[in-house]
Amino acid sequence: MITGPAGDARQLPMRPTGAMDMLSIEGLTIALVRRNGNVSVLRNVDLAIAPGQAVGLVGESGSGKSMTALAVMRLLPRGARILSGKVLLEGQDLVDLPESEMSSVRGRIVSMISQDPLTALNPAFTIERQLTDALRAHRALVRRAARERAAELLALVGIPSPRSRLSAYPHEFSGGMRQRVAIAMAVACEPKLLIADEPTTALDVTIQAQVIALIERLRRDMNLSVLFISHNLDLVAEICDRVTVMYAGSVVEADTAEAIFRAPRHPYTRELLRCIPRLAGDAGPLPTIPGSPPRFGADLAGCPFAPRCSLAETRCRSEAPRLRTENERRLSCWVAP
Amino acid sequence: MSATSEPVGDGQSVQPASRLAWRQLATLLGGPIGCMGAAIVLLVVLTAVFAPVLAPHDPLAIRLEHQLKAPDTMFWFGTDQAGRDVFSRVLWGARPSLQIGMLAVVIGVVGGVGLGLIAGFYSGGWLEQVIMRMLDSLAAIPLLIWAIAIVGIVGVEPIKLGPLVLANEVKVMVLLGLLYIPGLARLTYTSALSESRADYVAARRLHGVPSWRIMLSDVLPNCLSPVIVQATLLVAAGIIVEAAISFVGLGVQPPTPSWGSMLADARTFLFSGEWWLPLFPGLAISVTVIGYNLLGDGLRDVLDPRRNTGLPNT
Amino acid sequence: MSASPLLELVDIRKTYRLRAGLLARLLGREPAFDALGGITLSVLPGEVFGLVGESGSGKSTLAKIIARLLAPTAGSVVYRGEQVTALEGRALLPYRRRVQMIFQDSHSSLNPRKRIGRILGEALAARGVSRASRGRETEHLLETVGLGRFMLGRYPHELSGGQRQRVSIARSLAMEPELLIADEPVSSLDVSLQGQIINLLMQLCRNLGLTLIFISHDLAVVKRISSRIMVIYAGRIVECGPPDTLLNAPAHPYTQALIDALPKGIAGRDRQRRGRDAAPSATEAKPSGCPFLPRCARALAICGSRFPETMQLAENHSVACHFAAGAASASAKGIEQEG
Repeated sequence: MITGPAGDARQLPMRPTGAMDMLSIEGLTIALVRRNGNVSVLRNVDLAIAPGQAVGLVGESGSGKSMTALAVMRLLPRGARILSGKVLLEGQDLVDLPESEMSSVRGRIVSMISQDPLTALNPAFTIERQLTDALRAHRALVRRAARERAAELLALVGIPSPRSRLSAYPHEFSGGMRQRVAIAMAVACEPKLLIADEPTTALDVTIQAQVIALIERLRRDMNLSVLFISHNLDLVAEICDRVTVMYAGSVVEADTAEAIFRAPRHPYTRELLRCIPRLAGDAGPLPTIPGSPPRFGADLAGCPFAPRCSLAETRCRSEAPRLRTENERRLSCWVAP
Repeated sequence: MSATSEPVGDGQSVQPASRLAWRQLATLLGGPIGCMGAAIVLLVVLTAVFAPVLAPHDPLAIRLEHQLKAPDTMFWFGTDQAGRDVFSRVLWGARPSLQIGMLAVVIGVVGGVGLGLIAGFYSGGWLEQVIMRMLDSLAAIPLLIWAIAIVGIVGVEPIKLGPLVLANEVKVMVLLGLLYIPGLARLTYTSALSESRADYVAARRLHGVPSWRIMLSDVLPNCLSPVIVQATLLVAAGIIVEAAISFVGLGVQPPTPSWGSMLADARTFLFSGEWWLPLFPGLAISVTVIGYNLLGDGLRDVLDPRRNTGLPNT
Repeated sequence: MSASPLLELVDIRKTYRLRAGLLARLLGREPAFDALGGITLSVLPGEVFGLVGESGSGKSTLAKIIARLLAPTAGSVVYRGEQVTALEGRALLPYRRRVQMIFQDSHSSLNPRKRIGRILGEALAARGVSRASRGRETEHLLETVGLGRFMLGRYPHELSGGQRQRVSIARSLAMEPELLIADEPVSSLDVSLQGQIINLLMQLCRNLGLTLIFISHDLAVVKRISSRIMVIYAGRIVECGPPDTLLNAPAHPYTQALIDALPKGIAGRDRQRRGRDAAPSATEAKPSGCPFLPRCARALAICGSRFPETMQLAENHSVACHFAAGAASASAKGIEQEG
């Protein structure tokens, strides 16, 4: 439980039935608009996150997972355009929101941390300056109050001697510490949704565990919804309630973390799980998926995974599979049961 | 173990070969801007090269009966106070401008890239420090003032080097070139510094290739992109410097036509109505400089975000 | 195992001197960074030697010292019984033929301005292959790593990460080495593609009789392919042994921490995370002590002042840890008393 500036304690709300999703992406299609034709980046992507829920988005290079995150933040790269679909944040569609309103959404309702904390933190300014900037922009705090809050935030994310560290510069911190500071900046204004795009990929595995534990603790204490993006299925399964698997710009499977991990249905998900090197595995050649993901922008007729799929049939190569929904599961495959 | 089977076809639609070639050239030069710049530069260079053929009149022929004539069918750009055809003089004037502009850059590139490359590749030792300090001192000298001072002291007579007689322009060329060296060296130095640390350089060391070979064959080509861009811009600067120097009488000596000296001669006629005297040499300078700048801009777009295909990280 | 080692490192140290002000230099108090602090190891012919460490552990520095891209501050590198530490220039060429390295894929492992054919051709030329046979041999190299002829005219940026790594491997094979050092060769590749490259490496090592030093931070991969694993932390070797022993019964607390930190998937959801979110301790060890002290749950008083000596726990298993040494001798005493 954390106390807001007015000193009131925040209770974890009970989730009433039929409650609105914190984030709901429906049929999102994004392409890079080029002179010689559009390059498809996301195809009909669906994703839903309930309040307080952690959803994992898993995929490899070219899967479109980072694009999805950027779409929610409306920070798409130059040339990328949302062709169709909706991004509903607490029911409000962000796709056509004017930029002036969008900038008050960012940081206040939805916030993002990414892989390289070096680029999230401005090397020319102190930590205090960067933390208080966000606080003063969204909360209109006076300098002293903002400074207090900044120190609180650093303590919240586990930085030792927070008050003295306020005047430090980003380069004075180690990688893991920088990521903690980036997290502090992201949760400064108590957003409802945190997007974590490969937050631990650049960190050592021992530091990785600490940062993950931090995110998990914040989620519990602040009832934060988390969209956790990673290529590491093991990591995602540890902390997420639901997992969505993407390949070449489309969603191939989505289900509870248990189901995805213990009983994956889509051939790609199964192969991906098989490939993860395990400590307890046997010696011998490592499992791998032959071939490689489709080249960016290649025209795909049929299922994008078909060229590499051992179960592919003729239908898979010519017709793109439709998304089937059964209870908690969503599956996009002709062959899987 | 199966070989990776990458689909070889890249899905591009088939276009007639000639159109494809033009398109590639256009992209190579950085789009429409670069192409325009390249076209202008090409025009100016051809003018300079073929001036003897293209000029309708002898640029040095003094014919006082045709003095100060406005542009007409015989003298397209009019005549100056000595009856010389302005058009022919403008065409011939391209020569010293380009000579000084381009040759100065050659000196600058050879010296600058050489020093910068060595300083960057052998970074960490005394050589780097010596070179960088030398360049700092060179860069501290104000360009135009130094040129004027040197030429003023040494005089505008041609230099005799044994059998060679070098015109005054050579002094300007050499001075300019020397003053370009620090900037180009720094540019190369920055690239050389980071490229020398690249793994492919380490791989070449593992092949037992001697350092100097690696420096020239592997690091140098990767340092040239910003240099090429800067070089085109420096040619433009050189043309302006030539014009300025000749304007004050320390550059190209009369009667050789040069845009700068033509402007100098036109000074007295600025307010007396002979508009064609300053206009055409001035235009020539402007158009040439714009051309080189456009080419530089175009090349910068091509060479700097080099192989960036613009595809984001997904 | 009585085979004589292929490569031996004896007390290798590497210290980087940091730039300091004039006064500090005059006073002799130049700050220095000890990247490696006394590494001794030997690699047997034909084995796959795994080196595990995280960032800053010094594993890449060690790799470069073995490849003689860097000179050690102290210690010696011995190859096939001969000293190579002091060799330079021409004298180093025979060693260059024998020892090659593959780097972590980034855009800098292949010269972006050279075509693949030229990159490989130059490597062959360095070995002394005549111009006439270069073409044929280049194609043969490409075939060995599973790439087709059409690669020859391509530039590195036109290749995928996996293909670039294959070219890197081909380039190092061009010299016909005996020892291959692979420094994080697959860390930048997708998980589903890592296996392709690793399997290729293993296959080549078997077919060509190469010895492989495989450096990575990924314990699971290293465990799978190595015959011996060495764990390095802050420039020192903390443990060395066969994969199964190291993973089932690690002696050093750091090895244990590495194993614990690996995400366990679903199985890890309900586990208590021991001290995961704990802020790191503020006690730093003295330079002479054990660098793992601030993070160690088993620290003893002596750990702050003296780096532990390497102790042989079993025939193939050694560890440098005061706690482990104490535990080992305690159990030895226990056995003595029982027996």
